[in-house]
Amino acid sequence: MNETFDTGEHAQRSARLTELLDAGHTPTAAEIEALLAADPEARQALEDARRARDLLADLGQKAPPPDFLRKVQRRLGRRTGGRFFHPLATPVGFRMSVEVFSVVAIVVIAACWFFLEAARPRAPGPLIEEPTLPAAPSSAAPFSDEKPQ
Amino acid sequence: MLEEGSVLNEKRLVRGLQNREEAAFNVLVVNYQGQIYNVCYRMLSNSAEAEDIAQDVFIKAFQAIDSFRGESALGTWLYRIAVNLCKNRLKYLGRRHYRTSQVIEDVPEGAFAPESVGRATGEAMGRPDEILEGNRAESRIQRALAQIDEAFRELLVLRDIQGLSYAEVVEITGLAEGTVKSRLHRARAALQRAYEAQEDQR
Repeated sequence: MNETFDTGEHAQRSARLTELLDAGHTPTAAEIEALLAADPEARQALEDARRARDLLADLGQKAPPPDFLRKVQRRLGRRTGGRFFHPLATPVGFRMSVEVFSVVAIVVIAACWFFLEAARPRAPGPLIEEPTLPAAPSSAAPFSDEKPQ
Repeated sequence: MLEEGSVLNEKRLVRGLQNREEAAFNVLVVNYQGQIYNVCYRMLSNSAEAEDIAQDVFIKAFQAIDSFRGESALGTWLYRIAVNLCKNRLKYLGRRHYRTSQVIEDVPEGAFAPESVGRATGEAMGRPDEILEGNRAESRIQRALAQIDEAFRELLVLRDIQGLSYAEVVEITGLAEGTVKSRLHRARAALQRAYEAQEDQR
């Protein structure tokens, strides 16, 4: 699209002619005549524009196929894995995908389990005698780096 | 101009879509499928491509509904998505040397489809031959539409086929109002020339 056609006197005249045409004026209206006087070639263009507008006004609405809704639903389901309509989406006041919801739920359950386990009082276990370590030798260790006296 | 009731309904519909309600999505598709499909068909001149893009429009709208701030009507927003997707598809098809004017479905001999006949091209007619002629006339207009510049076609579809206001066309295309009007004038003239060229070839 050449942008230079969208500016300048010619563009303004075209825009004004469109306004007049759309407002229901006939091409013989005085205001159109005044505009056309400045640009004689515009008369043909205006007539073409009027005919084209009438042609398009006669064009009917092309109807989508009767199973259009079902096809869109199927495509949406394929694209999103169905999670957009998941019932978990809204009860907490904000949306969260099922994957994120699952991770959060697992973390929360794990944290609860950990704290419950930590807070539970432990039952006293059977008394076990601690083994006594053998006494260390009185002299220096055989591999000590102490200098002999 | 929308009535107060329909604005309320639209707000409720948008809220339902934002809450990801399936029923709201179904209402959206049922309410707007005719307009959106028609825009896509008139832009692309091919029913399979039009259906594909029209489906994408609703899915994209549903996925991006949180970005809809209600500054424009829901329909206008959908039109904008549709026009942008059609332009992207035309660019993609252009790179693959696809010509829309070559793929418009010709009405086969003996075939007629009353439901797709235009308002003045056959709606009031009952006889199959008249309906067939109406379909052929529509096919010629569509072929002419496919031959003109894409930027022209966009304006003709929105303004002259869908009957949108200048304010809505400005909002959808992002062009200044003066630009829309001057381009529209040239677009109509270009369409008429393309249509006459076809008539001469017959």
